[in-house]
Amino acid sequence: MSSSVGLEPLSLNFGPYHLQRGGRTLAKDVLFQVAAGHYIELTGANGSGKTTLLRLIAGLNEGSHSGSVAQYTTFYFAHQTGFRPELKVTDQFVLSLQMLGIAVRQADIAAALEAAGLRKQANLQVRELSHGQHRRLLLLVMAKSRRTLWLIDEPLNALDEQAKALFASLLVVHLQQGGAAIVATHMQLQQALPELIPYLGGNLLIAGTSSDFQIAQQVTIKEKQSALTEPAVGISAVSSFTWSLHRELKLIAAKPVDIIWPSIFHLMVVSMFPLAIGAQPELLLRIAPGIFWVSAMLAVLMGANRLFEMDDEHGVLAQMRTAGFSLSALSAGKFTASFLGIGIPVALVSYPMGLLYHLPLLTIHHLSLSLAFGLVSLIAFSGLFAALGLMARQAQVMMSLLAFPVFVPLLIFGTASVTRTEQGFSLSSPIFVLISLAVLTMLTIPLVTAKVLELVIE
Amino acid sequence: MNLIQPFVRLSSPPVFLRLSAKASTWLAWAAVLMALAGFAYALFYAPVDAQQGDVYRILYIHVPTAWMSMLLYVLASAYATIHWVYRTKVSAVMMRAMLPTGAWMTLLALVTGALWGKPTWGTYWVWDARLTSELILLFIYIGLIALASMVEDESKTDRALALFIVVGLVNIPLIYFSVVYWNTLHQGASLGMAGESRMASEMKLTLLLCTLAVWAGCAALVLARAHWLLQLREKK
Repeated sequence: MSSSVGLEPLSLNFGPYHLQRGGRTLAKDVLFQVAAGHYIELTGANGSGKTTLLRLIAGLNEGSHSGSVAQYTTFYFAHQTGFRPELKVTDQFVLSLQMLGIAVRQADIAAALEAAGLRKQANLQVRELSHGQHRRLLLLVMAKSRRTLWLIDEPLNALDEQAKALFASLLVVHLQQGGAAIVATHMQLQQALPELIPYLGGNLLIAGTSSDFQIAQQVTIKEKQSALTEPAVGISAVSSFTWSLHRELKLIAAKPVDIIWPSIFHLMVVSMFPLAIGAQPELLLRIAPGIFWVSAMLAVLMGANRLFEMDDEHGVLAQMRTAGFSLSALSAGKFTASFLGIGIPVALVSYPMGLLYHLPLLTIHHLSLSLAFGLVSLIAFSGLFAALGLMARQAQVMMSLLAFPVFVPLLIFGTASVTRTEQGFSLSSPIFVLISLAVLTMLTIPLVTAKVLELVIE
Repeated sequence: MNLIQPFVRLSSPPVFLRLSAKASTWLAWAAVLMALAGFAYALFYAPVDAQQGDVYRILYIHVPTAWMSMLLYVLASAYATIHWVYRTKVSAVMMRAMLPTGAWMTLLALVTGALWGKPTWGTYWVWDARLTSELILLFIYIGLIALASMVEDESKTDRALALFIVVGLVNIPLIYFSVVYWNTLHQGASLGMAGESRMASEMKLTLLLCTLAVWAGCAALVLARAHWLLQLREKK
């Protein structure tokens, strides 16, 4: 890399890139540069590798380990917005910016939404926005992102005249501040938006397996453009975790009914057993710990099944990766929220179900306590397998096959903590094993899950 | 540096393809010969066990396969670690090739154990700590094989598989100790294998032969499968 520490680069250098899709080479030795304060147009036929190149620069493809990714802070304006349909527009806007490490003042939100013509939609859910309004919101997030390099994939899709003008004005402000942009487009941008002509820095055409980069005539680097905006952006591990937990709780709050289904499932499974094997109180007392535990395992596996699915589909994970947001923190936040949303209710359902099983109150206490601690580990592992499930056909089957061996120790210590107390031993030892396993899983499994999620994004 | 040089060379696919083809043939022949000798020893040369009679002879298959089932998992996790760090093609195919063989060895150990248990203990299965752990090891193998077959993208699968093999390795001692704990808790059948330490020297020799035969056989199978997998990948 030519740029040394302390010197602001006048231009951003890229490549050489080797574009591949599905093992096939699309283009070799793609090499270009973008002058500060300018944008370049990326053109090429459908399937020529425009999006592949943008994803590579955004750090989303395997092999995108070259310097350029880490060198410039990047925002990727992709087809997937990274918005969750359940959230309120205002909340989503604030959350998106916080994820990028940018604090938003309450007073600025309304003004920003006003500028994008989304004032009236502020309290709607994201799902109620039209496609064009989605794009407007994403434009707004990009404008506030304080990233040096904007990677923009087909910006004019679904935008009306007013929104196109908004796009042009936001891009001009960004470039005037010394930023840079790469715009993939199938139509000439300056024809649609003549105000962008002075900022065109070049044209990169990908055709066949070769690429051709032409520098536009107009490139002269003015003095005020010489400094790239490279602010210290980023978000600490702790605040990533609280952000993630906060967001998960908002998602749960958007659909509060969803948290009861695993508990209902648990309740139904547990109540099947007396029908199958008889309802003598001594028998029920003997089988209760095992049945409650196995059923809770199934309920958690079912409930955690789609833990990462929506975030993957809507491009949230990809945006996090580009922003350098910690996926471990995301996982830890999700696990914690699931524990609150699935784990605690399933543990508490033991009380009514214990009464149906004629269990003594003390046994119910122990059962509920052991489930509460055990569910921390159960949920963390289920989350790990759910992340893996994003890559698989028949994810549910694979998740169960992988999960059951892992659940064996939890099941043994969980049920032991109940049966041992019934036999007159003290509660402590198995429950301490459960607690230490819970601590251990919460410390390690989010890290492993993050590795799996990185694989998923690639 | 010189010490690891041969291994680095082995990680090159053409070198590995050449060597694995040769080695698997040789190992297969060695396995057949040693197995024939081992079976002959086991059936005719080794003396009758004082307590169990002739039925103990099945242990000459049971013990080597049970060892092999665990050894293959450890080896697979070694290759998994190598693959996670270096992402070489050879480590990926070796790791993948070991799983089916490991699963078969586990199944064989369980089945021979059951066949030995029926006349000796009077039952095909007891919920003993060792047997239960072996059963769960089979489940782990099956889960990993399912993972290997269900994920679409090949290079992603390799890395996910590597990660989960290592997760499983961490989990195995935990499972074993929890099962031992469970066994003491429930006062299950505490039937040990009789007379392992008081083996006659002929028995030891026979067991050694059978173990070597199983080792060579598994190595041949794994190398042949790795060869085949790598060939498929190189063709693409």
